[in-house]
This record gives sequence, C-alpha cells and structure tokens, in this order.
Amino acid sequence: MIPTDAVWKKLSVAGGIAALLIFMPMVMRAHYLVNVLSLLFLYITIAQAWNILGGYTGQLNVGQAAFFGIGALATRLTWVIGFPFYVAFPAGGIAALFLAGVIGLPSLRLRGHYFAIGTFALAIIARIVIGNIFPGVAIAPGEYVANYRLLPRYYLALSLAFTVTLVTYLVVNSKLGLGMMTTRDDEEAAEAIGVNTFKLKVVAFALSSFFTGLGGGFFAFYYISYYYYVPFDLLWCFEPLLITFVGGVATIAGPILGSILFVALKETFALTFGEISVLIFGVVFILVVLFLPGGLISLAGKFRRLLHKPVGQESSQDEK
Amino acid sequence: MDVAQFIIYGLINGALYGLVALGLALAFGIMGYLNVAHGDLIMLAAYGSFWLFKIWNVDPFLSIPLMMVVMFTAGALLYVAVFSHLSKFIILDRLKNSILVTFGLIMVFTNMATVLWTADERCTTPFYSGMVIDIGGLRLPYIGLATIALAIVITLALHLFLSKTYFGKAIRATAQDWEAAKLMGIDVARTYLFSFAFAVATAGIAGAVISMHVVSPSIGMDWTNYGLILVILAGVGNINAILPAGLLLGVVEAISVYLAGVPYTGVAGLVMFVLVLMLRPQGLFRGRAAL
Repeated sequence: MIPTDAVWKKLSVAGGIAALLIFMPMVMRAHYLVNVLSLLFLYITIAQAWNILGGYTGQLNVGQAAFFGIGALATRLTWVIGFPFYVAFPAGGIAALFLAGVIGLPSLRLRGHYFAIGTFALAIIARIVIGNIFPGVAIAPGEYVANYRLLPRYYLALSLAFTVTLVTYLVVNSKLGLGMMTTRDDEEAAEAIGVNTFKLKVVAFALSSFFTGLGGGFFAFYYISYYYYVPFDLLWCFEPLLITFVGGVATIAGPILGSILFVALKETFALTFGEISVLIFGVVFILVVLFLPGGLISLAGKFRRLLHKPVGQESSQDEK
Repeated sequence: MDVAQFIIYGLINGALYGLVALGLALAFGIMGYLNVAHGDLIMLAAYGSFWLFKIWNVDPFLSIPLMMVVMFTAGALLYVAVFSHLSKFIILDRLKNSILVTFGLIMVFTNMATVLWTADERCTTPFYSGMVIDIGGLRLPYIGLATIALAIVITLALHLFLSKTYFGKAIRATAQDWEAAKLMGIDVARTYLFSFAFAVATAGIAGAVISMHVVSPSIGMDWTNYGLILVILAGVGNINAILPAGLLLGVVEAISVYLAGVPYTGVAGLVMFVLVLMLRPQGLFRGRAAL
C-alpha cells in the first residue's frame, strides 16, 4: 500500500504529538501537567482495554474494577516484598489474567446481558472481600518514597497507553478483530459461518483484563499510599465505560478523546466541586447513548461531511 | 434461640429487599429496561421521607402515599425525557442501552445528592423506632413487623391489579409481546409510561422504610444490588416470586451472618446470585410465567 498524502498528514501529526509528549517533561519542569497527563494515560489504558471487549466484541464487562483492583493488589504486594519493579508490574497483568480465567470464563458462557450482570456481581464481591481482608492503607516502604521519581511513572503510563492503543489497532485490523466484530453484531450468524465465537470472546477478554491489570499495576506504582479497596471501587467499573461511550465506542480514537474530556472536566472542577464534573459527564454520557451512538468522535465525520461533498473514502468506521 | 432471632431479622430484611426489588422487576419484566439506577431513585425517595420527617414531622409510614405520588410523577418525567427514546431499540439493545443510560443516571443522582445534601449519613427516628415486642425471648421490632406487613400488602395488591383489572391485563399482554399487544389495540406507549412511572413509584415505598435505617448519597448501589439479585433469583418477569425470593435471601444472609460474621453480609447473596445465573438462569421460582 502506498501511503497517500492523507496518511502522511496523519502520521506526521501523530509523530508530532508523540514527540511533544516524550520531550515535554524533559524540557519543562511542570509537575502538575505531568501528573495530569499520567492520569490521562491511565484512563486511556483502561478505557481502551474495555473497548476491546465491550466495544469490538460486544461483551459488556461492567466489572472492570475487579481486574483493575487485582492488578493493583498483585503489583503492590510483589513490589513491596522486594521484587524488582519489572517483575512486579507484569504480575498485575498476570493476576488479572488469572482472575479472568478462573472466575471470568464461566461468566462468558452467560449470554448477553447476563455477562454484564455477572461481571458486576464479581466486582462487588471482590470489593467486599478485599475490604475485609485488607482493611488498612497500602503504604510503600520509606526508601521507596525517598526514591520516588515522577518521570519514570510518566513514561510508563505513556508507553502503556501507547501499547494498548497499538495492540487494539492491530487486533481490530486483523482477522481476529473481524471475527470479534462479527460476534458482536450477530453471534448466531457468526457461529453459523464457522466463527468460534467463544474462543474470540476469550481472547478479547484475556487482552482486555491483562491491560486492565497492567493499568492497576501502574496505579499501585504511581500512588504512594492508598486504601487497599480504592482500586476496587466501583467507580473503576463505570469510568472506563462512560469514557469509551462518550468518546466513541468501537473506535480507536474514541477512548482517547473520551479520556481527554473526562480528565479535563475533572481537573477543571477539582478545586471547586469535585462532584459536578462527574455529574456533567454523566449527563453527556446519557445524551450520547440516546442520541449519538457513535460518540463524540462521530461528530467530526458528520461535520466533515457537511463541509465537503462525500468523497467515498470516508470509511464506514463510524457507522456502528 | 439465637438462630431463631437471626432468622427473624433475616425475614424482616428480606421483606425490605422484596420492596426494593419490585420496581426493578416491574421495569425489567414489562419493558425490558434494566434500571440499575433504581437504588438511587430509592435513595432520593428516602431523602424525601427524611426531609418530610425533619421539617414537618411526618411519620415515615404516612409519607409513603405522598412519596409515591412524587416518585410517580418523577418516573413519568424520567420516562418521557430518557426512557421513551430507548423503546425504539430492539429488545436486546434496549436492555443494553438501558443499563448504560442508568449507569449515567447513577452518576447524576449520586453526585446531585452529594452536592445538595452532603455525604452525611442520616435517618428518621419516629418515636417507635427501636421498640420491640418480646415473645418468649424473641425480639420483634415494630418497624420490622410493619415492613413485612407492607411488603405482603403491596405484593398482593400488585398481583390483584395485574391479574384482575383491565389495565393490568393490558400491561401483561404488553410484557409478553408488545407488537402483538399493539395489534390488539393496546396503547403501548401509554402502558409503558404508566408501568415505568409505577415502577419508580414503588421506590417511594422502599425509600420511606429505608429512611428509618440509613440514608446517604451512596446507598443506592447497594440497594440496586439486592434488587438485581432478587430479580435473578425470582426469574425475570416473575413479579409474584419477588417477595418469596426476598425472604429466602434475607434468611440465607442471616444464617451466613450467624456463621461467617457481619463483614461478609453481602457476599452470601451475591454467591447465590452467581450460582443461580450459571445453573438456573430462569430463576428459582419459575413454575409458570407470571407475566
């Protein structure tokens, strides 16, 4: 395929943004901005991870907090008992994968909405159990706090968000991704033409929970001390879902756009009314689900189509 | 004797669970809307009862009719503003989108309540709260007995309404097949509007009772939870089985508290829920379809 001008333009814009994100913290000493961006990357990671399973494969996982929390727990525990970080961080992802295998897989057998309800129950059970076993605060040892550096965490979050986006992109544009979308659109038809829908759901579930677990691992690495139950809070179920839908479900850019909006709103109101930002985001979300199924990202396409005559190469990406 | 006391408390809690789940089961069974914000509507209704008690000293049980009217109106408005847009989807998408939309509503309601009334825990304390009847060492709280009576009356009334009246039969027909019902001349839009508003109105009943326990902006999720468990235990659409399922859940929970301790209260119900979902998704009480 010969890259057209449009592709080059897109690539150069993406490269420019990447360069900016990579070099900005080295040049400037903007702690606030680096913190906000790290949080943004975390949201992009878990929203994109949700998108693989919920957006592209059509399995509504409303229990993401369980996977996020187990990732945070595994990373924090292995890290604190003395394993180097490059062992502890993947441990979060693997723990989430394990949870998905043991408890999540049976629930994938549940069709449609029962999967949603089942994963939600899982998240609530996990929160109660963890709250009982680890009632206290997860405190990092003193020397960890003394060695705390923001920049490695920033780059970790950046590369995590980049990786999950890249993996989603590659999966979606492969045969695997086609199968996933077929499963989402019509499971029976997919099975009838020989697609192993259960296998595809398992793969999507594994990818999704692995990255969510890594996101949890980042959480445990980023925050010095937090109550053990915090990463299990049900907010971690809602926020990725809301973000993905507001941005544009089953699109690559949707979770990114949604995360930017979400974090921007959160930061705008952080000092005055913390609750207002979530309230506004909730209203936007409801409006999007009811009237704009493609999410805010689809507005760009609609707007462009209003300005120009249809060119034909507008893909059917935002049709869903 | 100890166990008997636990079981009595379990039955009382179970009756309350039944009241909580009614609205959820109605909306789910009739329209296919899974309203996960039902617990938050109950939370708002409980605040209503709380303020009525606080400002005008209205007894929580007496505030039920008033709160039902208020919640009915709120439900009708909510249906027109939000849920009527969902009825254009096919039944499975309707379910998915209703879960999504009501997730958004949870965010809105919870944060609205926090902004308006702060996150403090409150409760109404009528003069009879804490009073008990003592029968051979067993303690029966007044409020608990009233809750059980209320749950039985409401369930019976609902059953009679759905099975005996013309409009109730129209609702059941719509629940079975809304397209066929429409062909038979039933005004489906009106039936939906009424059913949804009524489902929300039942939140007024549960809210009044819950205002005597504890009210805070974050209680909604827990009650939705109990509602969901009951809907699955009873079987989707099986309104009559909601109260028995509630009593069963209450007793199982009480026994688990007796054996495993208070912190795991919620787990017993959820484990039951997951088991039923996996092994018997049509519900425990499914003899014949009730709706």
